[in-house]
Amino acid sequence: MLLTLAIATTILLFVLIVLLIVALVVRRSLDAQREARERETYERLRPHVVAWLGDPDAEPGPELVGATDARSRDVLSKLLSRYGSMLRGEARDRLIRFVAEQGYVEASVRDLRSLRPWRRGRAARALGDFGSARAVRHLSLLVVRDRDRFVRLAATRALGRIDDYKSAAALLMLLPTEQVPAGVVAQSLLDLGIHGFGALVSGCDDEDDVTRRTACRLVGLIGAGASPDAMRAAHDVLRRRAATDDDAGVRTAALGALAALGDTRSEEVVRAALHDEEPAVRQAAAATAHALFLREVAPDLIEVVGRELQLDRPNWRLVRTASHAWAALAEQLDPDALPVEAREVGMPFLREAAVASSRSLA
Amino acid sequence: MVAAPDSPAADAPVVLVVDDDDDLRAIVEFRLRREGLTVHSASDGDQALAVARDVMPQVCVLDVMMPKRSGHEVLRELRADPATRGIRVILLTARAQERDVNDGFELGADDYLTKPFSPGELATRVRAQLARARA
Repeated sequence: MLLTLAIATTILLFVLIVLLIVALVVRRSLDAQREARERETYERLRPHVVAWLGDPDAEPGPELVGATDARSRDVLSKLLSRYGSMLRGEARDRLIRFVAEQGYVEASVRDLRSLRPWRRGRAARALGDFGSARAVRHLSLLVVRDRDRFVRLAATRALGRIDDYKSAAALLMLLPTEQVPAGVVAQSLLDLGIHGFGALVSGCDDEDDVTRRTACRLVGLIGAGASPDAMRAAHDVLRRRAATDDDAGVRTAALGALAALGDTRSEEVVRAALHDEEPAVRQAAAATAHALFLREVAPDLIEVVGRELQLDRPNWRLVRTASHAWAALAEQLDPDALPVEAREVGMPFLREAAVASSRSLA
Repeated sequence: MVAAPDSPAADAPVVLVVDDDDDLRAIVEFRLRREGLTVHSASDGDQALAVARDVMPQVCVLDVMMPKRSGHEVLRELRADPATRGIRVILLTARAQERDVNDGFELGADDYLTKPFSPGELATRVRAQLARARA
């Protein structure tokens, strides 16, 4: 009896294993066939996409406009997403119009509600590649609410591909939530470039410290291409932040941005910042004075060096930065400007700074 | 079938496009053929050097990140060989890789373009390099 039961179990297990293997082989074969069909469709459609996007005078052909079956639309969506990610300029503008008119944006927005994270992530990426301003609202919700970290990351990067003021605003609102690493958000804001400049300038006045810091830094990195009016607004907000912000990181970032944007009218702000309570702010102010060639603050710079050298534990980075700035800006490099008790320690720095500026000490 | 751009004239300038991304290569090739240029292509560094020595293009559009040999290595080889030294090279690089651009210029690149790129701008830059090659 026991033997019969053992034999029956063995046979049953054997049959189950065989069935499992057959199921796996069939599944694999079906997957391979589906992939081959997709590949074939991809290769068939690609020349039409290339001929349309590669020729500024061309209209999308019937193969693209007439793609109605599910497989063709799915493959075409992937193709357009690929080209949306690699192109900019008029070719991308035409692609953006096409995907909106042909319902590809709608389809991807629907996929954002899928139960499968990979599908939501793919849809988020596609919406970024499609550059549709309509998708900003949906992606903004996704970056905060989606339970999957990779979907949130995909949505963050996608927002950086949609050249719209609202994308930048959504990304800035994301910073305090810590749902996505600040570096990823900052990179997306950088990707937006000048399209997000207005939102970044507003972000410099945000109530959250991290947002203000990030916004100030990015205004400095992106602002070179801004219009004169936008630049004036940026200078005003950066000067105010450098002078009055409660957060030392914001003051430091604002000073760096003023240097990057070449605001030569920031002399008073820089002079005040050279006497800030935080060494990092004083160092940023010295670097800004150097970068903007603010000669008027040279006496303040040597005062900063002298005061620092009298401390038990001077901040050597600050001493070095301020020495170099002083050597570049002062009318005369007079080491006697240092307090007597700081002169011995300070001389090597002043000599180094003088050499770096190709000048001689008096 | 998609209508291919007109066949280039026999004396049309020759351009080599090097990129491991088939989709990107396809659109660059199409756009440059549309400009009346003779276009050859390669999908990796080794192939790029072989084709460059074979067809002697006036301009090479060269991706930086590639398998086997990077764009920088290809550029170094092109500049080291007297036969290929005169080929004008436009680097195609990702926006975040600014350091690649600096390294590329130090190795002798003539221009660069960042991805994502505009096909129209690429065509204009290739034309500019061809004009300089003729000057």
